[in-house]
Amino acid sequence: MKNKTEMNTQAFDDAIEELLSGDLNTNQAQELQQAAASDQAMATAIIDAWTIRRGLDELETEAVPPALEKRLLAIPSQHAPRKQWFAWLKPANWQAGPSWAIGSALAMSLILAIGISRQPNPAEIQQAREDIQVALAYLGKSLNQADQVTRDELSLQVQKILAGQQHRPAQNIEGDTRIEPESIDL
Amino acid sequence: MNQRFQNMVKLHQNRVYTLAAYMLRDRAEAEDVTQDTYIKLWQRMNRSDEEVSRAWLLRVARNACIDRIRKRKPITDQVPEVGDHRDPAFRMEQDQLGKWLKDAIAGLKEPYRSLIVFRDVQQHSYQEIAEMLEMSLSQVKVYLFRARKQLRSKLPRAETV
Repeated sequence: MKNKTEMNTQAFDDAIEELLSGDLNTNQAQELQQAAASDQAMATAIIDAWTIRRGLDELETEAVPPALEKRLLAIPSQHAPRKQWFAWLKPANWQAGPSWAIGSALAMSLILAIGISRQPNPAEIQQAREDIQVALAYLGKSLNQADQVTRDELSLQVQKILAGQQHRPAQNIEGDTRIEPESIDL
Repeated sequence: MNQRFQNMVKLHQNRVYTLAAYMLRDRAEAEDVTQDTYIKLWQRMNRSDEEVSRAWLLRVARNACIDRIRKRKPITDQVPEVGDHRDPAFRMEQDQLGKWLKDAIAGLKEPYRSLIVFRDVQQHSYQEIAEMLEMSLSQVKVYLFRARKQLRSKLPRAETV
């Protein structure tokens, strides 16, 4: 093997790395070692490279401090998941909505799917019309009930407020001016 | 999902922390980067069912380290001081060599620094490193070679002083 001064620098460095990585065959390794025996610069470079490799091999991974591990494990409880605009499409999120609305929507989509997939006969069309009327009536009734509950609740709350204000006079900054409750038109 | 997250913590926390510690040479910052990385992991796990790999985790951690390094003072290519190597009989002991190497690795530029940590400290395969750094296999080998060569050129020797 040529000595360092005769060798291309890149080839020389490559040969050292290959030697240390075990990529040189026995003959090539022996040639390099023999060349290094008569070439001080080459020998020094090999020793340096070997020293670096030895040091790198001894470097150890760092262990996470226990306090940090605790913080890492607590992340799910401290960081709420990010909501995405299409999250409601995921079936897992359907439970959050009113069940009657989901049921109605599914029924409606089923009817549409059946209607699209095949041509119905006149009797089926008539039956579907009646079913839709029943469904719509049911939906309307549900909405009316919900509306009535809301109105009742609102009325009750207003009555409570009015009653409270009649028994407990409000005061302005000056102290004793009574404020008459305004009439609320429901 | 929570269980998957806990597993990712248990399995890879030391790798993430080691990478950050070697790159930043600052334990407090390494802890911050590790925590930030796992917060991103948790948010990603919530966003999609896509499997999150170790390579993804380490890539995020590395990018966070690079961001922090950029915010520091400009990089100086200085050689770390090690003991009194004017002594002709100077020879680095293993402990001393280890400390010198850690400083020298932190002083390398990217991607050399990450490559040394991934390959020589964490023993990742070339293939996995290529995935993490989004490089080809041959690029990984060439850059790793250059990184080691840079370390070698910085190694203090008694006869050169």
